[in-house]
Amino acid sequence: MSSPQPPRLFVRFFEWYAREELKEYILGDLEEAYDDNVRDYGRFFANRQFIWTVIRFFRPSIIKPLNPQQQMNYIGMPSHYFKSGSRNLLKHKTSSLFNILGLTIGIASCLVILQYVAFESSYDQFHSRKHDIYRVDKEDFRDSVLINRYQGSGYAMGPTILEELPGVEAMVRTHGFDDASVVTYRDNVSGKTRQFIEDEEKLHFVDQQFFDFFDYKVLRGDRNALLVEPNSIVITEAMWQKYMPDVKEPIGALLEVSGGRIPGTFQVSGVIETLPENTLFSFGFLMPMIDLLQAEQYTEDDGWGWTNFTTYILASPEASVQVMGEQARNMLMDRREDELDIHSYVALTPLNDLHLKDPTAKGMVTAETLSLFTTIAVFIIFIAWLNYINLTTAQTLRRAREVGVRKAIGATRGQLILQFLAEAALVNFVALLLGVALAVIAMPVLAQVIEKSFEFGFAIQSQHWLLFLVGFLVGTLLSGLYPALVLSRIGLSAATRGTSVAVRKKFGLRQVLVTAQLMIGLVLISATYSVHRQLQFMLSQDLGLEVEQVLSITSPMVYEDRDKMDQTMRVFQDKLKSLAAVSHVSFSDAIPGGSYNWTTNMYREGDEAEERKGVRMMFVDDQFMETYQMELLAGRFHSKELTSEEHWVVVNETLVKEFGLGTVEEAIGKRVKSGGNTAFPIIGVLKDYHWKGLQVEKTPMLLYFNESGAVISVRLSGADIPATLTTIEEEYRALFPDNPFKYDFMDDFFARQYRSDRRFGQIFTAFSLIAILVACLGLFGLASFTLYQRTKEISIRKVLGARLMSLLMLLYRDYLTLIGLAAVLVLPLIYFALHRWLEDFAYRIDLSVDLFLLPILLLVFITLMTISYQSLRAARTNPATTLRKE
Amino acid sequence: MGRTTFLGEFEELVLTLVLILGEEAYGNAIVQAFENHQGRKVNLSSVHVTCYRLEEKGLLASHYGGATKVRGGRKKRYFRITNAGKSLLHEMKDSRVNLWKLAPGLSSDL
Repeated sequence: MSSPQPPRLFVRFFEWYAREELKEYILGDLEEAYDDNVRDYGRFFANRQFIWTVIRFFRPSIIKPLNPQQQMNYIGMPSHYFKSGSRNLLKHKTSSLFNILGLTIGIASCLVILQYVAFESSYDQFHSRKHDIYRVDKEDFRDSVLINRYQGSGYAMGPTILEELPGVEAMVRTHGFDDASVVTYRDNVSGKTRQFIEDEEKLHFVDQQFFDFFDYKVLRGDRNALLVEPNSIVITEAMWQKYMPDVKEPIGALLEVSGGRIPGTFQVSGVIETLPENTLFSFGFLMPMIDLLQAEQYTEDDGWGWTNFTTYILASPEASVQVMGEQARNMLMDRREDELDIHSYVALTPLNDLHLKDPTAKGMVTAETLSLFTTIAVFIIFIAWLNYINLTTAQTLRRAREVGVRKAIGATRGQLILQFLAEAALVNFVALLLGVALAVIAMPVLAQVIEKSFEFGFAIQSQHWLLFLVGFLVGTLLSGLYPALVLSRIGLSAATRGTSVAVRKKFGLRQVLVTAQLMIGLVLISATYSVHRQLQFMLSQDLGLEVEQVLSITSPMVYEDRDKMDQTMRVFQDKLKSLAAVSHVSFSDAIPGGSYNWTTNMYREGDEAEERKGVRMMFVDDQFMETYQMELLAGRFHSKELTSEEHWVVVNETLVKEFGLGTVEEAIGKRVKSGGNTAFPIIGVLKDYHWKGLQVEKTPMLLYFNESGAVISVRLSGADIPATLTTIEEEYRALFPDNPFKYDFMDDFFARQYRSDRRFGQIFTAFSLIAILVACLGLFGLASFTLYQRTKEISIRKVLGARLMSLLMLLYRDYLTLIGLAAVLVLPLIYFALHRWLEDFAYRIDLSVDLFLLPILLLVFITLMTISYQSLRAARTNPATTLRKE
Repeated sequence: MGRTTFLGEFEELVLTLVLILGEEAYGNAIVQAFENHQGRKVNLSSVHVTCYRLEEKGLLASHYGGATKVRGGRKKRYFRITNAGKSLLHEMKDSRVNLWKLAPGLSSDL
């Protein structure tokens, strides 16, 4: 029997880790001790002792060093790759800078855009029953063709649909306040009063079921009975802070609401969280629907006439959406016997579509815009990666010797590929770090542009880290793999010979990549240019009314006696008129750029009621036309002398045309009718004017006389506007001491309608510029390398007598060919995209040649500018300096 | 005074034992000596590591030899104390005696 041997596994373990030069003696000692132990204490103890000692030997001074000269080493080589990679980057600072800068900008813009897209897509995603909530819309058909889709329903629609449509679990109606209002809080303890003007969207009437639909957190009060009691009011936390910051327990506090539909005193019954930015509503106060329904306007209505309500339904989770939608489409919107509206049917819009895909309203931020932005983000990052590929493969010549030497020493191709991938990983990693930092800095700027307050919260969200990791890996592989394959392929002989490695192919991959970049650049330039042109076009249109130098003042809403207030208003009007700097003062219920007063259907007297067309109606006084400098085409404008019993109206050109009333002169005296028996005789026709922005098509409009409107418009004629403003404010405060003073400049107010378009234009331009910048970085870097390769060619040509211009042309020709190719490939795409985009605008620019030509010229210009610096330098070099090297 | 090299307790013991063992000082022998003279079990790894460290400090020197059948034919690494090591041990002993002399009531015993 042979003597017992120490455990094999641990002997091998020791041999694996121990230093070569120490192995023999230690192992000798180990074995000797083992044998002694077997002899003295038995095999079991000896084994245990041996294993323990081997483990104890596993310490720094015994373990072999991590030295690349040795085999069985998986850590040393990669660290060498990174070391030589970073040395290489530092050695060629310019190209590294272009690479990293391009990628950094690319990653940062990509992150910013994705964050923005994620934000816009996050609207109302926090409601637990978001998939079951639908808004009840109305679809108008004519001869079974869909004409239009509106939101808004009568107050009876909710209860009716709840009863008639199977699968509906609950309904809730909401109703705006329709006017600005003044809210007052009087603190009984301190005697202080807080009073603010609240915009119309701040106050909302809703059914109690509102809180079953939407998951806004209730901070105070009983969620199930917030709006059950009449005259109760629910406020948001922000309003609590605004009106009663010192009050610990806001429940029971009294708020006075003046103006609007139902002024009165309301008792706070609950506090809910301040609404987040990414939600459908933006109210600060909620009031009970039961109170609103007591208003005269609705007690006299049967529930179908006034369609100012928005109705939402909650589908039971089991209900089939499709079946419900089809059944809804058979439901009539209007159930009144006498004028059964057989044209309008119910349509359901899911809550998820309301922000980005609302079929009744066209905003700039739509699902399509967002996917456009995402496309730009992807474009930018791809351009940056293409840059890396281009620049790195362009260095073939420079790296050839290094590859050759490495191969000669014994590097395998796999190792070389790993090395170049490590370099790519290094660049991508640095760029990722810088890019994230840049994005964090850039985020607040974007938030300012889109006027939403949101933060870049990637640290909290784990999916961001995943995104970074995936982006990093994809980026490294995408940008590093091809250069790695190309560079590692260089043969040993070619590498050591050095020169003829980089063969200039007419259409190699590099040309394809540059063409791709140019194509993307061209798309972005022409898109930016078209957006800009369209916006300019809209802003330069003749509105048909003049909003410059007009001031609008919210009229006082806090008063005791209506008649007395009307008298004071006259006094105010006279006082304003007496000011030298004021030329006209007008009272109206609506102002340009705001809403219409009334939307109804009318028909020409003598026609069938079936022929009705939609008409917008506004209530204005006799000074309105002159205040807004509208142009009268025929007849006359309202005046106080005309008897109001006649229901005189002033219409616009479009109404005359649409109703077939002949010429504008012929239209005078003709009458239009709405539902009832009232006929409206026309006394004047105005040239078409744009009540709303130019996104809206011309519609028939009608101005009705009403002296005591809620908004005061003042046309200023003097130059010293601040002084005039002060005077007006003093007069106002003297006459209406209980009311806050609030005014708007009408040109600002009107331009607010274009805000989203302008914003869209700004964001789009910014990111296009970034993309073009990144592409330029790539071109610049690439140009420097291709020129480096052609240095000798240029020098020889020069020696043979070539002129500077012909040399430059030679260098430009390559790029011009590629631009031409890019243009041919991409122009049809641009044409169709532009055509589709412009279709959405009522007033749009024509698809003229310059929309396509100018971007191409611009691209040529940018490209030549980019490469000119390098080209000029190369072309002006003294041939002696370059040729001497040979 | 003015010593530049300091030794830990274990290092000092190893150094002393190498001195005692003379020509026969190698890993296992030192472990054995620890057991015999100090009644203390130490691990082979600690001894080896300490010897290498002392060698680096120039207090020990080593040579190879004595392949025997017992150890699977493997060589031994013998350690030997250098002059520097010896003088360091002396120095340490002297300084300790000097210290003891300062201890009250004990100086006469030494």
